[in-house]
Amino acid sequence: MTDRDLAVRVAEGDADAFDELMRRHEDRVFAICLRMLGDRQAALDATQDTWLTVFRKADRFSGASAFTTWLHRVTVNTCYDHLRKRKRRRTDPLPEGFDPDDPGAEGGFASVELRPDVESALLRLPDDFRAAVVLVDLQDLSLHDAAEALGVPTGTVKSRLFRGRRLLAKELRNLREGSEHQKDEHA
Amino acid sequence: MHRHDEDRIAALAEGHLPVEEAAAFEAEVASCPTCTEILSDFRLAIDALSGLPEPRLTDLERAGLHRQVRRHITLTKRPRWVRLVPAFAAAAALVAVFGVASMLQNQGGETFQPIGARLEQADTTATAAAPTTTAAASMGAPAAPEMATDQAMPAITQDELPEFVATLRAQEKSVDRNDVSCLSLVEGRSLIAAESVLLGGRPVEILVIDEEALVVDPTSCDVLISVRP
Ligand SMILES: [Zn+2]
Repeated sequence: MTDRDLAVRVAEGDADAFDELMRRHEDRVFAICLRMLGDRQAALDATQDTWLTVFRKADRFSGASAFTTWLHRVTVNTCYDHLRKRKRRRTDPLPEGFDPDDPGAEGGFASVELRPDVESALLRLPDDFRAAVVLVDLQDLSLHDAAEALGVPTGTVKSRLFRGRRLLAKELRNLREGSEHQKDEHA
Repeated sequence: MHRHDEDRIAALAEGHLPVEEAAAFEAEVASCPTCTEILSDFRLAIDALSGLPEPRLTDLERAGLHRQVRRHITLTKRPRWVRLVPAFAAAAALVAVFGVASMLQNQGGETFQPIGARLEQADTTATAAAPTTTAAASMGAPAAPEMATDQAMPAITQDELPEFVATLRAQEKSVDRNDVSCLSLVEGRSLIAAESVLLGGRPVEILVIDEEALVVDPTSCDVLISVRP
């Protein structure tokens, strides 16, 4: 059965169809959420919210585009919601020693993932750039599909992707130089 | 006149140019500092990203996710109100304890309508006396409110309420504002958490806001209880 068939059944309230759709795509959703949000607990929350939205709004999936395109859209929007919420929270007084610019400050990712420098750099990108980079360079979406998922023109995605890559490269160089510098100091 | 062709540089960095074209273009890029810098940035970024491991849910996370999602989704065919009738007595006891007069303002059907009742009524002519709406029908409706059931909604007692609120507050579980029935009560304040629960058998919505938490009737949006630490 295709994703589309399953989605139609989910809209009719078919729980088994929903389970199957989730099994097929939950890792993909989690991957996007983790790359967008940077820590596993937040990514799990966003993954859960994404699937609840899929269940509730399955009837709004028109079938005009691929199910995965719609799923990506729901996922990215959920991540944006979580990011907005996080920013709102950070306008509250911060505990001492908390560096709001440190994307790892919320904890949880550095200890779990490899290559923390790439992840830190990714998290330092503006959200819109990061979304384009995650969808195209990590999830291998075409510019066209990424544009549909983000709800912006293809040219906009391309421009965000290119600027995102360049910023990422600069962040990586900065991070690597920083850690070289630290090593020198300790030597 | 040389143009810094980002599209073509991207294609080169992504390895999408045919071999011969790639070699010729790379030489052209090398003659322009700007293009060289763009290519170097693109390559560094693409290389770094391709080295990232594909994140996967651990078995534990996967099981937790399935459990949580299932908890929030009703898979039952029975309309919820059927189980809510016995809750009447418990809710009346609540009123006695807290003296919330407004709770009984709409005494009768409306006060004790389940969260999804408005929707069910809009969809069908189902009344409390003759339920015809199946869970499946209401699930398909647009913007369906939280589709909770007994399994889905935590059932708590009054005694447990303060601790439950504290847990909600600590979790900072993300709130989908679309799922909050009484959003107007929160206006201008930061909503920290929201959860639908059966409180003494009665379906209520708990809104954790700033210093206080409101226990509200999800249908009338009457505030039944205000919980302060
Ligand atoms: Zn150039």
